[in-house]
Amino acid sequence: MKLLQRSSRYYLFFSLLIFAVIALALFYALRYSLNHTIDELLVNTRQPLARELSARPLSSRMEIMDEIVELQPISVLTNRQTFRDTLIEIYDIEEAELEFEPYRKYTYDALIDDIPYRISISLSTVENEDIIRTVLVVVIGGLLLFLLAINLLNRYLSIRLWKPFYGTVAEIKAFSARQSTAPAFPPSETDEFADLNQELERMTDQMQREYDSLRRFTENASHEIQTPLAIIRNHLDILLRTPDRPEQDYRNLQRISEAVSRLGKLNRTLLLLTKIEHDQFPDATHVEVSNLLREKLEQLTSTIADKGITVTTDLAPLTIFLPPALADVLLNNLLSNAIRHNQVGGMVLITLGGKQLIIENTGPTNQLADHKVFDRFRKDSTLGDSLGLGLALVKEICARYGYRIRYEQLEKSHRVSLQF
Amino acid sequence: MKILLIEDEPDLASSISSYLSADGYLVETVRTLAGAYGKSGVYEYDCVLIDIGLPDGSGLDLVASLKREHHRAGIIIISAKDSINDRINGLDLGADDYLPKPFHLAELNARIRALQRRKSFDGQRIIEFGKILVNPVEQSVTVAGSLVRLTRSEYNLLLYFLANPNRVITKESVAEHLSGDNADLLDRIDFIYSHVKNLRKKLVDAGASDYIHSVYGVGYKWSQ
Repeated sequence: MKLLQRSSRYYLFFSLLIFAVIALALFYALRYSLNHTIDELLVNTRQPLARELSARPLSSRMEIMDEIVELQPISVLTNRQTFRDTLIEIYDIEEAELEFEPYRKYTYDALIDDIPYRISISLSTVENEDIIRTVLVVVIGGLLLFLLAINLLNRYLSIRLWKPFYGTVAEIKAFSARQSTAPAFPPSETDEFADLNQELERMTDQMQREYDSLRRFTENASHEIQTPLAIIRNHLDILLRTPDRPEQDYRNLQRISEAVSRLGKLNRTLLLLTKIEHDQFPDATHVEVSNLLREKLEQLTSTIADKGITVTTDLAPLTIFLPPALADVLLNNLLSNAIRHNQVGGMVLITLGGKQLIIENTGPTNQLADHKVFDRFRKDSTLGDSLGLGLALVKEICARYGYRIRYEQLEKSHRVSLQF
Repeated sequence: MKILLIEDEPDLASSISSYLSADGYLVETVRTLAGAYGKSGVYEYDCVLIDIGLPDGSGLDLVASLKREHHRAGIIIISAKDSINDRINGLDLGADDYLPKPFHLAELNARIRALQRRKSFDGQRIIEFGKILVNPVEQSVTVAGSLVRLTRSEYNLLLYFLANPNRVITKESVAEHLSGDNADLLDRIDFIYSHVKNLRKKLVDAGASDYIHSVYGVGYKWSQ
């Protein structure tokens, strides 16, 4: 929910609460003062009524002028007098029916011709109700109008005042530490926003600088490692050239050679990962996936045959936009993974269609959690020669080019699905 | 054949020079760009190996001027910086090949041989070893006159062996040679075994002697 909506909601809630209180207070105040007027009127009627009653025949209920007068003989005269609101059923001429109307009833004891009576005078308060209603409607209507106006003004001002803030947010959304340009935050005359922008500028600048230095460090480190590796490797080649070494020497040389090779691979794969992260593959072209898949499978034929793996394919043509070198890496890694993590006499099922590539292979169950297979250096410890970077590379490529990749471990097989 | 090696790292320069000298090449080594300009201004070379990152400048600058002045010289860039841009730039400037460090010396040797074959005009294009004849132009292989059908990997493997006879070639080196630029992206040592096995079988079946010898698990050696 937007801040503006939130604050408006509070405004509205509290305004309504206050309006309700005002309306209630107004209602009671008006009614009190109107009742008070009526009560005075009723009290003032006592004298003329006494004269009127002594001059006419008495009945228990009489209508004199607008008032309804009720008489009740009592034995003892008291000084008590009460005012109360009541509803009395009277005949409405316009509606032609009986209906209740509000009355103010004044009860007191008095002597009529020396006989004590309890006298009640009731006076209709319908008009009072009408007045109260009208006043309330006018007041509440006015208040609501006021509320609406305030709210609109508030909204307009907020949008104007918060504009720099939204500009800043948009800049941050578009910001990436990888980009070389600094974000341009919109200037603001509001102190808080100017402060925020200044701090953000400092932060983003530092982020970019640190990211850049880290990137350069990684790049330089990887490049610097290449030279000593080359020296080790070359001298190994020279050692191997000397004829007639004992077998033990060869075995040791082989171990060194393997380790050096592994180190070289590791280094260059990491370098490739950083390159993908930094978008250093600008030359994307249209790549036909099914053809490339067939080509890769062709290259792997001997390995597939050695493990006695059956490959089943169902390939529909699909063209994607990707640097060819990365398309190569992507498919190579997925396919060699499906073969490496397979069992002798196993199966690989490759389906390409509807912008989706599914590679399913039989193989021993994986010890890793499903989402961890894409992490760097996560690998099944039973496979010593694996670098644990293959799927990390795949994931990085997918992330960069907006493909969705998912790994599932099925009952006896593994499935990687890639949504282009 | 004369080779000029421009490499600032002494250890690397000495190993390359010693390996190539043993193959009968005449190798001269300089460590700086200035030295390279000096040497190449005076002598003729058949092949120049240039490192890009030199203390006094980029080897790329040398490529263009070498190409202008020595048409016959083959140029191979050896660089620790395996960047696509450098590769494209180098090849655009007239380099014949690009080999990222770290490389196997056998690989360098094979590249020099291939370059030499491409550059030579005196009919030495056919490679011969015993009864085996390889025609790189047609990419065909015959044993005692009859054609042997090889896959691309097997053909590349054969050329690699022929470029490095009588030497132990490690499995890693073979793997990288066969998988080219993607070598580092794959753990594919195991696939070499079947390629070697198939090549050996095809050649022997066609009537050639078995020249491929395994060397204690470290690799292979092509010899009589």
